Amino acid sequence: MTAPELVEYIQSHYDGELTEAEAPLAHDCWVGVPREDVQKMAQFIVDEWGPVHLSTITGNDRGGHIDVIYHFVADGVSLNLRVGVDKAIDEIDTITPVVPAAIMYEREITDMFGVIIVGHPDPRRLVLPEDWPEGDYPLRKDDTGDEEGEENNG
Amino acid sequence: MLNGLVKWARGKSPWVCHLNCGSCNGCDIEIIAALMPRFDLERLGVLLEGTPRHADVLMATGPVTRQIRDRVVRVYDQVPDPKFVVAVGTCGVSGAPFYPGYNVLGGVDAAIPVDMYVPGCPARPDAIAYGVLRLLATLDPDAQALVEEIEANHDTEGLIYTPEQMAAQREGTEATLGESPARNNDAAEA
Amino acid sequence: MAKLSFPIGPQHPALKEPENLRFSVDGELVVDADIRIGYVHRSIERSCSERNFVQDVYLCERVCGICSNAHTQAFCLAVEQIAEFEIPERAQWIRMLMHEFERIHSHLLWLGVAGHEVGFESLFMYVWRDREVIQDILEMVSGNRGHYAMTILGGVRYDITDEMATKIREGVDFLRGRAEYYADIATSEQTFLDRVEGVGGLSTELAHELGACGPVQRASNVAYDVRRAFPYLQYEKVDFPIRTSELCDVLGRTLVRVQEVIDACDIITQCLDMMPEGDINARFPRRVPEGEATVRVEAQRGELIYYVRSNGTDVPERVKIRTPTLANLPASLEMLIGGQIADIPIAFASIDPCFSCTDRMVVLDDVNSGDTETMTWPELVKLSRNR
Repeated sequence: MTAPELVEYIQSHYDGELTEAEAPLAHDCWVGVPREDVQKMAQFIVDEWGPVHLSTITGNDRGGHIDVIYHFVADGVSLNLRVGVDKAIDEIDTITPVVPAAIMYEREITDMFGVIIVGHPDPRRLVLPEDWPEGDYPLRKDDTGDEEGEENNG
Repeated sequence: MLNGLVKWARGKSPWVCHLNCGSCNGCDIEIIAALMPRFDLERLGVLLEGTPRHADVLMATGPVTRQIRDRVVRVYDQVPDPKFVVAVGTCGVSGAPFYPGYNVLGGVDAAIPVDMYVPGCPARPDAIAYGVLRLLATLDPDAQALVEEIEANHDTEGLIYTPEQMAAQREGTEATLGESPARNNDAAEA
Repeated sequence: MAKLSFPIGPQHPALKEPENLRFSVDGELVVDADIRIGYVHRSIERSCSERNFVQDVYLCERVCGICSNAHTQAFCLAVEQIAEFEIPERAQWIRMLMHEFERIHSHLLWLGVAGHEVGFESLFMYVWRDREVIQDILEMVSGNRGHYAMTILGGVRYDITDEMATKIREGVDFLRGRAEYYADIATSEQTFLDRVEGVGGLSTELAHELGACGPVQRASNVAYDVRRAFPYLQYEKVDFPIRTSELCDVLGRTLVRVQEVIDACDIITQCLDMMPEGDINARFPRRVPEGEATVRVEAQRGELIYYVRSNGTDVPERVKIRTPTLANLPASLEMLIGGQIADIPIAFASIDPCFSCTDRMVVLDDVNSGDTETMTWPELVKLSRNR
């Protein structure tokens, strides 16, 4: 299947809201869903094309919200699933029960961006040195932790 | 008498412990390569030792990260006196290019005192061998003779830095670079 | 006997890099394994979004000293994809050459370390001696033994001359012969087989489920190779098989890697044959238009994925790196559980772990909970004296 076909298939078979659906390249497509539907979409992808390979989960601070992007390989196509998480809410459902490979990548998101993964089977703090201050997320741009860094470099 | 024996043994056969303080692996591989058949540091009596408690020389690579600082100090304390520390690679020298990241403290000397700096990215096995030999020269007259022979026949300028040279270098760099934290060490491309 | 929990690392003779493994053991059997990494976390992703694209190439190269070229490869491909920039064809072939040189050097390095971990020191020495051949080729081409700085935005830095090509062919022929010899040793040497056969098992289902990648995945009989799944550069034009193994253990991983060394030698010969004349780089604009790209390449250890987002300036907004070792970690812990303590080093080494890659980003902490008892060092000494 090529990426445009995959996008078309999702548009016709997935019964939820899509915030984004495009295929800029022959092997690369982008799909977006609202924050609440992430588990539903992951389940849809696994049901349709399983076993899928989850390459990683990227977080990106876009100012008002944090983009969480799930990079899947489904049926030979790179399927990027984008979910926007409002900084005022800062929560997203886990997909680990559906895609076990997500377990570490989801922890990484919590650590670097402070997005709480709701329902994560193993939600302990896992990132950065033991003495890293609480509530300081290195890749979150409104909370850069610069002062702390300076102090330690001095 | 015993002291003389210990000094002789140290000079003839220094045991090296390799310590990764947050390096990218490049220099670590080159340290192993220096001990392998091609460069064969073992012919000089250098032996790679697993535990710091048996080591005479600590070869530390990489910028010291925040999480490993305490461990580095602990390992350093375990090495019996007299001990030498060789900072291998440009990261071990100054922390560049990772300095000043939020989790990077700087070169190896941010955590423990260093006796010899071997720059290079990654440091070359021959430069590492030369650095070790220079340290041995302070203990062993044979090694001293070897160092003199090497220096007479090869250009060793910039291959390694002693702590004094390093201090002078830093002063110079800081004066020219001013605020910029990036310290450029012209790597030993010999 | 009560379950005993013990840590290995961060500084330990069996480990080449600082990481902390915790095991719960029942006698000689490992019943639970945890890992804490992050000793090599160097804040690279944040530094990447604070420096410009040209500086980032330098920084990405230094994510890892072993797969450095794969990182620049992926980063440059991602940025070039955003800018819709086509690099000269000769540059693509040279990039492929570097990619395969690096695969040979890394797999041989791994084979040596594996020999060391099973106590087969002569294999270690032999392999590292042969590895110097490829190191010399890399040095001849790029001028450095590691961090070759060959890949730049818009092409490659140095050309391959005819003289170099001749030397490369000679070196590669030698290495092909050696790799065949090692493949023979790996399947016939009993002392080696005893240590690797049936050790560190990972079933096909688990490999899928836990998202393993690279030789680990292929040794569990999953035919996934990024060079075939998402062809980049000129990989569509060269001929090579996807090496898989049904053994699902350390022996399988060894065989896959040794076979890949032979394949890499073949790819290099094909590249030299098919490489056209022409420019090796083109001027790349300083500013990159707004956009984003996800790029996968097949690094030696497995699938390496880069996500780059540009906001139209000369500094990337976000660079995300996911290295193969992180993807293989859940699988590696699975391999250790149920095995013997003595098999920990080789089973763990069989994923070819690289923590300088992994640690730039993630720390896993798993403190033992439940009914296990923590013992301090003096207590342990006391216990051993009482026995």
